[in-house]
Amino acid sequence: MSAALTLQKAIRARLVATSAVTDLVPASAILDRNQRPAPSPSIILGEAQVLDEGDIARKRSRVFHTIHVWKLEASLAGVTAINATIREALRDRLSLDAGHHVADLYIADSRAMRDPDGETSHGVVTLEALIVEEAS
Amino acid sequence: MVPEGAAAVTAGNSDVRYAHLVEFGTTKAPAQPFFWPAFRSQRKRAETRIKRALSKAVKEEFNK
Repeated sequence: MSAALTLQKAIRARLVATSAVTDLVPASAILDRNQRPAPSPSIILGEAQVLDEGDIARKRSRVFHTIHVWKLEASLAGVTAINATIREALRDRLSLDAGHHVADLYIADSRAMRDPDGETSHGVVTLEALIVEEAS
Repeated sequence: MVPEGAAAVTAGNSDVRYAHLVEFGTTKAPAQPFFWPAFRSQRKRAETRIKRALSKAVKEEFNK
């Protein structure tokens, strides 16, 4: 399976299993989908970019995963808190399906923005991971 | 301001201030990431070219 997809599955499994996250966003609203507007509150996964890491064996990939957080609220406090719990939830190493291994994973960027509709807050969390293919 | 011996990569200007809305989407518009994917994939190449241009300029100007 692709490195990006197996990582996405592991991220979702971790978020759904972390009560600090599901206290703020129900597990049914942590998903990979395209319709707008996204449910409130929700965590939308799936936007990934994979770059070759440049090792001779071509077994390492750098995966950039953009996680979107949406919430109808007056301030940015809610999405800021959700952003922080996502980061906290991913602090311990993720275990992927056989064939891939997480060598490094960190939240590279985390921001909260006001949507131009005037009533929605939008969080964007950018995650960078170094994924190594291994014999399964 | 961009300091000497450096290069800045930006999107948008004083007339175009909605780059982040295109990149990350809004409640009504889908995200169309253009900046970060390109920045990440072209970063090494840009760094190499900037470095080469800098050292070329130094070599050409130094002994004048």
